Amino acid sequence: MIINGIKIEDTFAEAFPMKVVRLIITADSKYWLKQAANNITGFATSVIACGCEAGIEKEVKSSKTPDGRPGIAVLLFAMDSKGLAKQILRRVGQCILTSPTTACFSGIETDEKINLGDAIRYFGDGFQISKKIYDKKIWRIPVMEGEFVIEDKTSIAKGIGGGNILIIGDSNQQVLKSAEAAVKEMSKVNNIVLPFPGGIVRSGSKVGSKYKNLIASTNDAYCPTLKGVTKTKLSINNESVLEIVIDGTNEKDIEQAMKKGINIICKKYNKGIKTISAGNYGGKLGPYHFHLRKIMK
Amino acid sequence: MSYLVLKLKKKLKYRINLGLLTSNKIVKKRISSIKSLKITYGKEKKEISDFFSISGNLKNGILFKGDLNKCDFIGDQMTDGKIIVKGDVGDYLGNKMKGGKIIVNGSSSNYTGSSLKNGEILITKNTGDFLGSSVQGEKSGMSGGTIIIKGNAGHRVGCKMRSGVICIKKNAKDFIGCQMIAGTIIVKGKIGSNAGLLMKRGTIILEKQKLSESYLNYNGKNNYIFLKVIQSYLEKLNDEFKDIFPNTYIKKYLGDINCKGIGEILILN
Repeated sequence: MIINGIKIEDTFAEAFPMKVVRLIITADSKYWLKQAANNITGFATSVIACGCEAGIEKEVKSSKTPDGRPGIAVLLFAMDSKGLAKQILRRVGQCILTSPTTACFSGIETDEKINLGDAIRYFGDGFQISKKIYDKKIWRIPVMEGEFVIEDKTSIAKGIGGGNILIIGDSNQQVLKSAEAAVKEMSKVNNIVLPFPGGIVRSGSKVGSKYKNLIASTNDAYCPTLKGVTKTKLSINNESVLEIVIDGTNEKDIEQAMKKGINIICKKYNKGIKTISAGNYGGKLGPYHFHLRKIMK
Repeated sequence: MSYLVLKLKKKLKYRINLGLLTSNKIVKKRISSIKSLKITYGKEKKEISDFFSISGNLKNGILFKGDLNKCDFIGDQMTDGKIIVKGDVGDYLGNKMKGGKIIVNGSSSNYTGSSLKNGEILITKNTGDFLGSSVQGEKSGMSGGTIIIKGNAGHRVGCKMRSGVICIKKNAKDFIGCQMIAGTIIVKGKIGSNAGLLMKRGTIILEKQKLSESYLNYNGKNNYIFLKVIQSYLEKLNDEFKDIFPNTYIKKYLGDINCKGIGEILILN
């Protein structure tokens, strides 16, 4: 399949099941909202070393937030509920509790719940106050600025991690420009996040390493500087490969994000781009297979 | 809308207990067996049909008609469904209720919503003393649910209250929130004396007024954003709560300091 001169490889992105939490963060101003959201989703690019993968999903209008202030929805993904609960406690405690004027609420409803405010409340040292309205419970934790308001529990849902596309081109600058445009377009899709810096990863990995202690190492088949010494998947003119990783709450939205990303590259940012591919591990890693050609039909 | 309609036939001389007439208790009964349910009247045992004409079915709930101010325990321990009363009711309305909704188009007497556990009670006129409080001898009052009074309330609103929300649209008399353990009481009108006496925790939210009780410490002003959060939750339950807290930058008193309480009285405006 070739779209506007770009080859869409007959391959698939291989994704795996994760657990996901959506948090709604609110604040008095957009500035502090952004600070808090950037902090809680910081150092959350890959479960390989960060404990979770996270990103900003969307802005939430003040009319849709529980406290009537502007909000941001963030999604946090981990391999299991226990690991996610641990990350939530650490990140909310260190990044949201500490940010001036913020409050934090659950943004997803399922039967599986984990502690949110119920874990953070002990910071109140006995002065914390709970308020319960039917099934909704919040905690008011006294802090030096006033009060930090946080919902008691948050739900955990099933999520999918590791959807991806690889952008392969002849020019480093053109590949980056295309990737940036794709990120901008893909970010418009709800229920997904692009966890890497600016949504883009340059250091895609393969499973394992020649070094015993490493579980992942550089994906040498896609490294343009190693074309002469490895079993490369690049042509001689390919100078750069960038990857966009997509985590989402469902397959449909991940597919839509991939489609939007590939579409914008092919239609408007195709200069210097030769191939769109995807990372997989031969179907052994995860049950979700996003076939590029099927998506782009 | 089809209700099981119970219309009071005559004016009552003695008080009667209507606690056995809730949806969950009579859902499997036929009208004939509902009519023959036994209740105590003075020193005699009588049947429901001696006092009420009964018609309709339970599909949408129970509808009481007439002046029921001597009828106590309406909605006692009800778990679901709806009770509507067109007229006044007696004591212990919605006592230990666990769910469902009671609407009284009139006034209620004392102990309305006593030890309420969940569900919703709406009174369109006034209520008596001990609203949402504990029944005599019990350690705690209402522990969940919401009570809305569109008119005035009597003494000791929310006595020993543990959780839930009481909202009074007009005035309340003395000792609101006395011995309060937790929960929220909102009064949009004036209050009597000794609000929050022996209060351990919980929140009383009042309109602009001066509090000079010695057992309360003034805490200054601050921004209490949680008010907007509980407002948004309450608005989903009932339109009566719409924009109930217009501002969040308000005064706060803490007490009862004599019993090391950290209950709060917030003054809107």
